[in-house]
Amino acid sequence: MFEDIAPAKIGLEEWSRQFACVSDDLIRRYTYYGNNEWGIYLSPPATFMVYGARELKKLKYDNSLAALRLWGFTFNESERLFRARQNGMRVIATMGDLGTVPVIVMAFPSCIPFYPDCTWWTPFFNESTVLLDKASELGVPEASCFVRSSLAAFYKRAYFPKPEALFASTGASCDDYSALMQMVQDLGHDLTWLEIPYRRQRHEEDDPEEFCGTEQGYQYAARFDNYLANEYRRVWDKMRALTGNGDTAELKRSIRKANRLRRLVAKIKKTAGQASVAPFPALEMMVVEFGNLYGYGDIDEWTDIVEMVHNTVSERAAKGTGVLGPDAVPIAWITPTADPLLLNVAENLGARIVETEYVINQAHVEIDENIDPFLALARSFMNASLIGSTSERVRRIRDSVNQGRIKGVIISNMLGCSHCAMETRLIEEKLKDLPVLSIDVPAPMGITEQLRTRISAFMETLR
Amino acid sequence: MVLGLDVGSSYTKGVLFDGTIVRKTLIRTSFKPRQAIEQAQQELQGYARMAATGYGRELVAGAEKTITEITAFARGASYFEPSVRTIIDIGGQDSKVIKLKDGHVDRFVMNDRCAAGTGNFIEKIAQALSLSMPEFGELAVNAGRAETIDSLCVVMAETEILSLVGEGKRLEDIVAGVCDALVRRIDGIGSQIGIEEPILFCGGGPLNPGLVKSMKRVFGNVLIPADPQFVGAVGAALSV
Repeated sequence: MFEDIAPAKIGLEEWSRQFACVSDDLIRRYTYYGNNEWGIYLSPPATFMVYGARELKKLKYDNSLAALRLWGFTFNESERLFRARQNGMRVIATMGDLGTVPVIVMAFPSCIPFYPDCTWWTPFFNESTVLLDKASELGVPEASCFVRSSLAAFYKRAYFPKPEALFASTGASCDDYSALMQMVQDLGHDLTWLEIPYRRQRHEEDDPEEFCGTEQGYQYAARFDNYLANEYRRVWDKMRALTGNGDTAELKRSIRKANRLRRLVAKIKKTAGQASVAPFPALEMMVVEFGNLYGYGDIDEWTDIVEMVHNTVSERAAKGTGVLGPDAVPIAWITPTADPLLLNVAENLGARIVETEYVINQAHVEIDENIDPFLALARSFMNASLIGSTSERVRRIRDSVNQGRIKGVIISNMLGCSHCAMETRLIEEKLKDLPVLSIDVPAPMGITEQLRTRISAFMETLR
Repeated sequence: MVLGLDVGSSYTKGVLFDGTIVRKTLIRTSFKPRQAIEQAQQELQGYARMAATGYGRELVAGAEKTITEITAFARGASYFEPSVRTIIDIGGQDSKVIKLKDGHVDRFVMNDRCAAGTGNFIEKIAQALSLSMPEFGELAVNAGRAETIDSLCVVMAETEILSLVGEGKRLEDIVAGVCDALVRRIDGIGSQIGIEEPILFCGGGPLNPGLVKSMKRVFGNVLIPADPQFVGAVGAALSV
């Protein structure tokens, strides 16, 4: 049935009507953890209203089977994590590094990585301040990043099971995460800390021998290779102690899986960005990008979904069909928006997001499969978005501008977020010869008419 | 003949336009924008096409085109003062500084998160001082030396102003200080994109002589169009 449907963005009710025509065979075909009894996840997005995700009624979704799988799979992550626990799997929280530690965790059978940090989306999907209010009660002030909701989620124990192990980053990492994780530690969790080194370019007075560079051209002190590889070996040792096993052949296999996913996503981004009409909506594209962090805890199934997304995007691009009008204005979006609705709003107002900098560059680079796996992980991580300078962070955006691919940039600024507080103005400064709009992402349910006007006016200036 | 409507939060402005303003109307929007739109359409009959701007623009049924106030002000400014480089609008709910390049919007900033940078600031202070808006404007323009109001928050400013009243400061100097505080705030917002002359001051703000005096004190030469409240409506009319 999906072959006959023209690409479009549809609402919750329309998806439910469309889902009524989906065959039972198709529903049974897709399962998580490979389980045919309780692992079925294909359901209309409206299902997740029951879980409290009230914002779903405001969103528009792609109408493809690939999108149906994508939403069914990602929205049932909470259920999946509790199922994992019920079935004797180990749930491992990996925080702050955004993309590398899960590759190690996935090398251990029956260990499921997840990012408690990602509960920062929950207050927005749920249109609720329950988690944010609880975080305030626990001592995190209102004027801090929305990621504070993860502390409340740890406290409430209703959003994910208590993890068997927690890995958290500090150093050249997000300060908000680090601060919150210290408070999580105070709740009685056993954390393993990784210290992330700061990546800086070689100065004139530096010995060139002591510096090296990533494939993307970021310079850093060569000693960080071994330093970071040893940090990842500590993660490995912790996981070995927890599970009683550990085979580096499995780690190499895990790296190959991560690379396969990363290559697929890179192809999707390239195809979507170059297509004459946007073949897939920005919101779903963001979900695809963030899947690179950890495959939403089941990398095999997620990769299969992304393969389907790739096919959908490729077919649409080849046919010149898509979900936005041909006059949509190509822009770049910097920093992920905590409120998913904002991406919908931007598209409704005429934007087409063809380039992104969602602070997860490290999850998009391939990991070298031909060297020591820990060293390979370290080297790939040295491409991370947030461990270097602002100039480095926006370099890719600037390249896109130079290639004439984008006409403007929107920066979503998180009130209270430690890097946003400083970096938004710096990014504006670095891109000052370009049309740039920075917007404060409001609290849940806070997208006002004024904010819409601001985005709309920006689009008018770009046309 | 084109009907241009600017459905703002305080007032709905309408112009019947055929290259010049043929007729115009100004209606209090209150919380009834649909009613204000209908009234404007009734009063300005004889149009063949219609375009709308302002927060209530999407409520204008039959509008051939809707554009944001930013674009509308830019287009309208080109009608009133073609050479203008910066537009400043102090509205009831937000304030805008729009920088133009070759008659088009180059950059813009809006203050819509805090009443301190909007016309609402003056209204609240006028209420606290039991002054009507015309009285407030007249007093401000007759000030000798404007008092300094440091607080940017309306609530805090109110307290500061009451302290000044208690100290026996002249009311004229206090209200002039309020106008200066608002304009300094606009200057701060505008500095993000750089304010360049010639500056066009439009919207309802220019009807307040005290505010105009403050604008000139802070920015030097400021141009006031003949119909400052109708710049957006004219811009809407010019968009079709």
